[in-house]
Amino acid sequence: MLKYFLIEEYRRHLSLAKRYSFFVFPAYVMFFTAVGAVFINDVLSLFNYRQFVSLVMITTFIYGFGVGSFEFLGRSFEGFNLVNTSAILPLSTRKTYLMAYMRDAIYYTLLFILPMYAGLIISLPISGLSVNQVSFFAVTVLLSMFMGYSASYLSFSLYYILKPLYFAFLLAIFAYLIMGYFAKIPFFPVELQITKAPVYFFLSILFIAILFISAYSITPSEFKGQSRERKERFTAYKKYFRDVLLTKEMLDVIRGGILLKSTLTYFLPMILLFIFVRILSGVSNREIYSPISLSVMLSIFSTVVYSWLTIMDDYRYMANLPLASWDIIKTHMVTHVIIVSMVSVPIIVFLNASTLSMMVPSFALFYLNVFYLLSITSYLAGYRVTSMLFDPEIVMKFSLYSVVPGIILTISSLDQGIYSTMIIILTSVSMIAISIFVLKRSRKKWVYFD
Amino acid sequence: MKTAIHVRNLEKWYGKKHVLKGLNLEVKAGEIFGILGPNGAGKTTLIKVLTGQTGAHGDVKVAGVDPIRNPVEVRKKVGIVPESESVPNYLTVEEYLLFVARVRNLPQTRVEEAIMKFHLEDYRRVICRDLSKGTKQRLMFAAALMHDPEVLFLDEPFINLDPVYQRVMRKILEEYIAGGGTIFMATHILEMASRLCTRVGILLDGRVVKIIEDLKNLEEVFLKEVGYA
Repeated sequence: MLKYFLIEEYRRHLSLAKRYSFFVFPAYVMFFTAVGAVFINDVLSLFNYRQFVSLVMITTFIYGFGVGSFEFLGRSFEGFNLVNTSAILPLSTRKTYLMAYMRDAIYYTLLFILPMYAGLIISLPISGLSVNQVSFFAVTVLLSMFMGYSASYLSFSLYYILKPLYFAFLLAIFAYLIMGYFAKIPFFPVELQITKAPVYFFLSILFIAILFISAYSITPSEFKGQSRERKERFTAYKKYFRDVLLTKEMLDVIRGGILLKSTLTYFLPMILLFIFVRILSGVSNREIYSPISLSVMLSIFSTVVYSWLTIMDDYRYMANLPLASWDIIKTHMVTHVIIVSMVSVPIIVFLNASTLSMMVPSFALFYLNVFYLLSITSYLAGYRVTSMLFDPEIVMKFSLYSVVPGIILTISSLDQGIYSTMIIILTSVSMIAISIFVLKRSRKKWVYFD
Repeated sequence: MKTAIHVRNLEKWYGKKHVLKGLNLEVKAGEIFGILGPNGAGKTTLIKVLTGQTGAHGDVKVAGVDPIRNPVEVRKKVGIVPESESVPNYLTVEEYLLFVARVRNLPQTRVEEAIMKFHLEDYRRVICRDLSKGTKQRLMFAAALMHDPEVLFLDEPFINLDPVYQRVMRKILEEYIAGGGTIFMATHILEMASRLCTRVGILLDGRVVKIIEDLKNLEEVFLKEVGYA
């Protein structure tokens, strides 16, 4: 049966993009790992080894947990697929989700872990690392990712048994990661990986097995058709939000748990921000702290929230109403700004706590970049961004249009000289002009829902 | 009699696939016009073009509006019950109908009327995607008829309904026609087409190849046209 799950997944991706796109992702992974490995010694000069291992473990764990949650909890929103066939075939839900777990475990190993390992091997002549070192690193990444992925499988099972248990499990994981990173509590995987590698490997495999077996055992053999009744909230929300589409979108956001997902979405970027500051500080040999550049970085990461919004609902029914897909895009954009503000404003205020004079420019550049990125994303991908992720042409255009101005703003805002200020002003004006231009074109481009 | 749907030389391509090939059609107001055809003949595409859900080339007017040039405008005047079920993920039945009423600028009283008319009272607080297929279909009917559309487009409308609700829906559609509405319906159920429709068109390979006015021997005529008799 696993064979058919693998084929289905492959064809699902092909339906979203061209055949070669399927292999673009591992190629990217291989390339970026090889490039990253070349600078490994510079990175290790900025962090102590414990911090470096912790960062690798936490980021790959969160990656595994994130993709797993997206798969297990997100798949139920999709239409007819093999995971959902238990309803019409003599198959238990327990078994179909086990197959989904195995399928993704195989794909992530083939498309992520192996290309990463290949990238590390390719870089050996330049990085100066040994085969043993990169193999040890690759196994650490593999185990951390599978720990995260298996934890997401268990969290999914808990979600269907008792929701409070699911949230308690989530909180416990993240509390452990944060406390562990800051060495507030013993962080076993890291300590063991450094001091007793064989014990670390054994315990990690054991822990993955426990998570996996627990998840499999408690997954119900059949999901009861829970009739999820809700009180009518539309009228009350309409009074607050006025616009009918925004009202509906905010109801979706709250009922779909998008606020929680968005907050979690920021967790990984915050770690990356932390690394970024450390690297910049190390490269320039001084402590660099620019709340403005961090705010710009934050706005770059915020685009993930837009993709959450676009998969929240099955928008096909909108095509039966007198609406254009552009109307949905506009609503996504407003909702995006509301959510992103709720999460980012406290962070920006926190970043500026010791340098209040930077508060206004931080907010100005944050919102400018949010507006610009939203305009570009919506123009390129429309009301659904899922297909965009599999189309290398769109990803390339997006990277070019979005990352370049973001980098210019980030680097320029590290220093407050007149030259940098001029660059920021010029870049900002260009971004506003481009945004207005693409928004006007989006209006004409995005009419239909097909 | 006033023309509800006018189509001349309609062409539609999906990439390299030529789906509608110079299609011509005329439907009078007050008619129940059925469009029959084998799978892949272009029935759903035709409905999508006529309701402004996809672009095309040709001279088309639906309820006096050109759906190719004014795709959103035409949907103010028509109602659509699509073939594939598509309902909101997080709205309840009542909230979805309130949403549709707001989008169409209808008074809130229409929501209650629709809930009663389509027997949705027991489901008003149920999240739409948790409904059975048949109840989803009734909900889509309710949403499509709330604004008394000039033309109602139905794509395989009875496929998920049990015999009781097929009958209820038939009665509702008859009332709608008696009130001056027009129906354009794509279906595979020949018995339903012959019982409900005033005229039937056979769509084959992207063109309407025959218009049938005498529906007594619809099955034989249809099978002969598509080459199975």
